[in-house]
Amino acid sequence: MKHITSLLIACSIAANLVHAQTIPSKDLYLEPIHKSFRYSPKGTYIASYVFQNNLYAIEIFRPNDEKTTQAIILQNVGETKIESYVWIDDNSLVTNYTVYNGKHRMLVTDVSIKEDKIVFKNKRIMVEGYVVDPLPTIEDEVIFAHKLSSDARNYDVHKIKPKHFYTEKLKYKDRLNAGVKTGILFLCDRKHRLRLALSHEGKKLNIHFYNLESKSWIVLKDIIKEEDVFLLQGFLSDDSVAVVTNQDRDRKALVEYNLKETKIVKTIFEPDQGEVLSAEIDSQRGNVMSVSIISQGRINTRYFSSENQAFDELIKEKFPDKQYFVMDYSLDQKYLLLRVLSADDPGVFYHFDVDKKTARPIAEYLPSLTSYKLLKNEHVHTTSVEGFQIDAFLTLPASPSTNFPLIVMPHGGPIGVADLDIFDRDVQFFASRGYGVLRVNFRGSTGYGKAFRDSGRGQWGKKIEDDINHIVAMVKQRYAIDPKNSCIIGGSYGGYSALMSVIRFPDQYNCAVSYFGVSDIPLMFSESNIMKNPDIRRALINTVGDPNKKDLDHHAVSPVYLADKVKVPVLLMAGWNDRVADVEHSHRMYYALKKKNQEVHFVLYPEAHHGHLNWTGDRHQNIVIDAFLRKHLKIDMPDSQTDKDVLINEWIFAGNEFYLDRLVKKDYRLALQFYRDAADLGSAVAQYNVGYMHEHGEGTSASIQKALHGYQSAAKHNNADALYRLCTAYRNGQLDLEKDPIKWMEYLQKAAEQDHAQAQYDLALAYMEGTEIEKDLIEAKNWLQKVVKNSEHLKPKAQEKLKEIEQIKQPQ
Amino acid sequence: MRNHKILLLVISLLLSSCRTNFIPLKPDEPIQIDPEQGFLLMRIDSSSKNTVFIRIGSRSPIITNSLYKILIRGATNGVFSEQFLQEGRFLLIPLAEGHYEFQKVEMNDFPTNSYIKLKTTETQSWEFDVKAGQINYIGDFRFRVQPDGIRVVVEMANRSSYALEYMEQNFPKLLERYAIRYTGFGKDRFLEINHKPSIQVSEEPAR
Repeated sequence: MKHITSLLIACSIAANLVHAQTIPSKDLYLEPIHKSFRYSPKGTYIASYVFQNNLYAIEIFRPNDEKTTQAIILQNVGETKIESYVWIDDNSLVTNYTVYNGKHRMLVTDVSIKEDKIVFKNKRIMVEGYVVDPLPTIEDEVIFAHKLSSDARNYDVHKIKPKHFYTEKLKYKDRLNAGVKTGILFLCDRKHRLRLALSHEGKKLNIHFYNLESKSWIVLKDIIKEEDVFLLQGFLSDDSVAVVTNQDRDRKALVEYNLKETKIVKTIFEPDQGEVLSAEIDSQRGNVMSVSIISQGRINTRYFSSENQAFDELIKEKFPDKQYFVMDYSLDQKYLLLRVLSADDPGVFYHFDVDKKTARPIAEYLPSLTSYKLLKNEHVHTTSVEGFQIDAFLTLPASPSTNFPLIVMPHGGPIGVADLDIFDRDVQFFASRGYGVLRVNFRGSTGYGKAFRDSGRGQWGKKIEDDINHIVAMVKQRYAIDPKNSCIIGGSYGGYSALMSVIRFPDQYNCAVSYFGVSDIPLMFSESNIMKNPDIRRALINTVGDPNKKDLDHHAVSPVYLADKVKVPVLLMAGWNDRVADVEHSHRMYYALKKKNQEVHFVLYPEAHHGHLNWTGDRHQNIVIDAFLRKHLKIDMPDSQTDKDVLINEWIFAGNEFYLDRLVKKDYRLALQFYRDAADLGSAVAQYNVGYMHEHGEGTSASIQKALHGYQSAAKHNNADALYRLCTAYRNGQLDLEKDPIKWMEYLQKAAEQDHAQAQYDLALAYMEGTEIEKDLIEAKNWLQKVVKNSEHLKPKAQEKLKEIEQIKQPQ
Repeated sequence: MRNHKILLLVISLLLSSCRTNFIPLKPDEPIQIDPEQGFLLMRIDSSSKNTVFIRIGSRSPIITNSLYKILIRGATNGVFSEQFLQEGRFLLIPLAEGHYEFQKVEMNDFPTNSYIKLKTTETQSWEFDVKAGQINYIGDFRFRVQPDGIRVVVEMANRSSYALEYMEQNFPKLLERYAIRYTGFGKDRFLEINHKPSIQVSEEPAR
């Protein structure tokens, strides 16, 4: 946890560091280093799941003295990942992980302190399974689910001594799940008795409950109704559990559910506004500590005991205007791990000492953003025709002018998803570039109750887009936004919504972007031969409506069949391996718009699924979208060179990916376009690339004149490649230049001085030969020694030449 | 009489095991089909960085867990062999009208030579129709080797717009004479809406 020191320093001087308006995408689209944290039972150590420098690791930290060490390090190859980790006592951590080929492994890490340092020893567990309950209050015993064979998803659960982990055969007395066939997931009650199990029967999942009186397992039938939420939070008593559910009610509440009677016996907490997300249950005493509530896109925590309420007030006082989550706590609840965040703060993890009332930062969520000014959201809302309140978040650009461009970003789903008032990379990316960003929780979104959620079903291209349009019109009026300066962009359903919105409300937008989007609803039923699966079809019908219903014409709300109504430029982006909205959706739309001679661009990411495999993909995608928006919206170029340099670097990065056929399908035309834009902002690298592509006719017809212009522009900035290309052109009489030995040598010298290894080698040879310049073996030797340092490729040849020089100087 | 029965059984077994080696048409190849024939069109989508390359011994070739054969049965039983199963390749063949199903896919994973039986179940269909006098696009044969190099996922994906674009670029004359329709799993009118043949089929060979 080396970030601590830097964080403490960063906090004190952050105000001075806040600078550049345009946040570089390379600092924004990064994987967080710390993914999660776990206290050891007494809070002596904190284990953290870390991803850094393409390595996964388990880091052990001692908050007492801030000592830290990395106990498990795995290279990010194939399917490698850390699945779970749990402390089984204050010094032993059990980690489940997957190696490159998908095989599961388990390790026990014994942690101790030696000579004031954290030391550890990893021991491989020879059996496969997972810890169901670490039994933190019972010495030297755990409840362990033992996987019976590597193929089957079938476990036996036993109470065992950890020392038996290291033998091939487990020693145990009683099988705790006797009576549950094919059990896969298990839960103990507050007295650490195995009480609940999830099993599979073919593809059907069953919930089993252990009845203490009959001492037998009972299958709980039909306790969860389809489309209802039923999230188990923990045991409250011998036979009752706390559950977050919307069963028999509109909004999700925390209820007490009696497993013997299979019914809700009490409503523990139902908020006045919003819905319950989760609850913290005191695993020892079986009472509810807190509930997390989502209301109008914000997450709040409500405490029940006066002790905890005081704690809540303390946190709110320490971190005004922030939201926070309790990530973990020690067994005695004296230490808490918090993530404190807001829309303009990706978050800091704190170790909170309840007795001392101190919060010590232990890591930042995205340390790369510390020095940038992030932007807050404004909560706006309107009322739909039916009387629903429609919430939205508007993020104003960093320096809003009166007529700032607006981008509307409908979320995916559309059912059961919502935008939140917390930090969002895409919002910060666009807002820092001068766009206002509007995100709408239209009907169908989660957090507003079942009626609101269900009112979005079958409303693709209809009332959902009405909601979005309604609030867009209101925002444009209230914020004096130029009505002719906005674009609608989105992914998945958001992409569909963007296309349908420009069809239905053509005066509202100047352009549309759909990434990983749907464009043809009937295709959703025939896009794969697995659509025969009745469960998948039922889920699909539940979202888009039944295609067999007479009054429902999916063609009438599918952008592909309405292409002639699209009057604005469209950018489509897709992943070849997308199994949610197949690439065919985007390609169909591309085909249909091309046939109508409408401006359309299609960008294909060959390795992407329904989204990118890593942040580099998101980064590239948004740089391409930003470039598209700049062409179709009125937006000023930044004044400061720092901001311009950000754009130059991003456009060269985007161009390189199109040129090299790596992240995105090769497209020389787009590569050249990005290089040209960067060249216009004064980038020598881009000017050279433009020259090169014109010389070789890549992405454009060959033009020696334009090639020469590109090379000469770059050479003015001492670009080594350009200087060398002009040198060879004067040597060979290329690029419409006459052979000119003086200029040849002049450019060769300049390129060599800019560390161009080939130029250095050629110059050394020229000094050795003495044809174009005066022979000088000392100069030749100097340049060859630079080549040896600069180029692995030319090193052997340079070393040969150095030997030759030595032989000339010392004839035998 | 008994010998005759055995002979008939042997002949019928031999006949049933007879398979046509499907040879896809080359772009612009002249073709004349019988009135009871149509065209089958599909594409191979086997792009996967997870394809495993293993070198066994210094003299053996590189072994890849890739497509070796795709077997189809129906009005005509046939096989697409390895030479035509490269990533991204469209396969267009004339085929007798009728109901067909994929039978199995064999892999090139020496020494195991494993295969997957492709059987229609209640969750996945491997059936399709070939209708006479039209180009029947049945989907992309999607083949993915998982990172462990052992598990394989196979699926038919409907990429009709790619098929139409391919035919427009490579068989424009054929498209003038024959309608192209999707006849894989499910109903899809995209091709019907976007393509209508411009001339009646005559006895002249099309190019």
